[in-house]
Amino acid sequence: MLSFKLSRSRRFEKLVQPHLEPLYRFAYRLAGQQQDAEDLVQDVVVKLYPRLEELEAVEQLRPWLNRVLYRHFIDQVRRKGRRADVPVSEVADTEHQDAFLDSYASDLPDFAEQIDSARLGPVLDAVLQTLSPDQRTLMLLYDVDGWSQEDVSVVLDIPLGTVKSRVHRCRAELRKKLQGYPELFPQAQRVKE
Amino acid sequence: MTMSCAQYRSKLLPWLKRELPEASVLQVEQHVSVCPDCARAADSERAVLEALRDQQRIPAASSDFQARVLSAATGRKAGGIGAGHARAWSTPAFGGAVAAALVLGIALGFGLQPGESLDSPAPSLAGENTAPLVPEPRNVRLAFSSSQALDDVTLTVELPPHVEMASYPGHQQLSWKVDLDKGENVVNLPLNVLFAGQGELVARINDGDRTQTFRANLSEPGKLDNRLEPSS
Repeated sequence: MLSFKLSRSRRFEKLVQPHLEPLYRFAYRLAGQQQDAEDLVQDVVVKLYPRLEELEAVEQLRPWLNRVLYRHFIDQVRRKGRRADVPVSEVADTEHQDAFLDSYASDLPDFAEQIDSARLGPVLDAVLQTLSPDQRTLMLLYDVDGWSQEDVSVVLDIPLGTVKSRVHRCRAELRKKLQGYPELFPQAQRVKE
Repeated sequence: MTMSCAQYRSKLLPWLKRELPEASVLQVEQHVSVCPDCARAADSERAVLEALRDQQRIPAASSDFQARVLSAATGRKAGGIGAGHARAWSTPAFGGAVAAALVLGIALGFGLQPGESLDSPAPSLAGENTAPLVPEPRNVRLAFSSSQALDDVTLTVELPPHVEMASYPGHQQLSWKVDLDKGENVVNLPLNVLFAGQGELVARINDGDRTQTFRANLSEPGKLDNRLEPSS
């Protein structure tokens, strides 16, 4: 066993490098641009280097890093005065979860058989742009990037129940907006308002 | 307890994402198989999910992204072990200090019992210089004395053919990034002696620009060989 200590930079690299790609992916979801996402990750990693010993003591580094990146992003947005963009963690819950789920589950559009699947992708993209940034981020993290609701809860620092209600609400919102494209599913029922 | 279609539909997305506990999975699957409305709803959810995943792929980061980020953080040049360091030994004063520090050299010792030596084969291995043998574990200590702390240098150890690192069978050369403390720095190398033989252990300390090389004869463990070879 080597009794030399690894160099500080090497220790940092070994610790952080496995998380860079996932961090980039999360950053991309937040920033929406490749270069901005890379810059965001770099800003965070540079700030963390002097805190190597603190990092080494963290048991679950991935969510910890994601949380740091998320907070950094929010700070950055606020400093720049962009309207982002209410952070996902601060979106107000305007509906009670149970009431929401009751309404959510009523009338689903039935477009799977009628839909022009080749056009669904581009339409989805357009519809996503009409969602608020926080809704879009939350939905993509969960639906596309495979984050569990528990992961979302930990990283965004919001209760799990709130995450669940927001995920469903975002889904319902997306579904409702998709019905603005009747050519995709002409026979679909309208969701109850 | 019987669930309503509304309750089942609230589980469709977690079901498609394979997040439901097994018991719930079975319930949903059974319900979907007998309820055409919920089956169509499931198809809709699946279509949206697949389209989202297809549409919202994240572009790969730049090819140098990781190296650039780590380099920005640590100050090391990109490229991993053996790469250069922002603080170069080529700086005359610094380089001189390093050379002076490392001239003090390498102390080589074996974890052997008195009277043993590496070229004294175990009885069952006598006379077999090349045949595969049961590895004989040995512990070697290398001691570097440094007059100052040196961060982020590469230590490379090269072993002769009859010796290999115990943790890395088949490898005669390994490198580590290390920090050297001021004063004595000791590294323990658990080795396996594969067969009787002679040869040198070569240790190199490199900061990316300059290398200091030390050689020690492994065939005469009772002696220390502290020759310092010119930088390579």
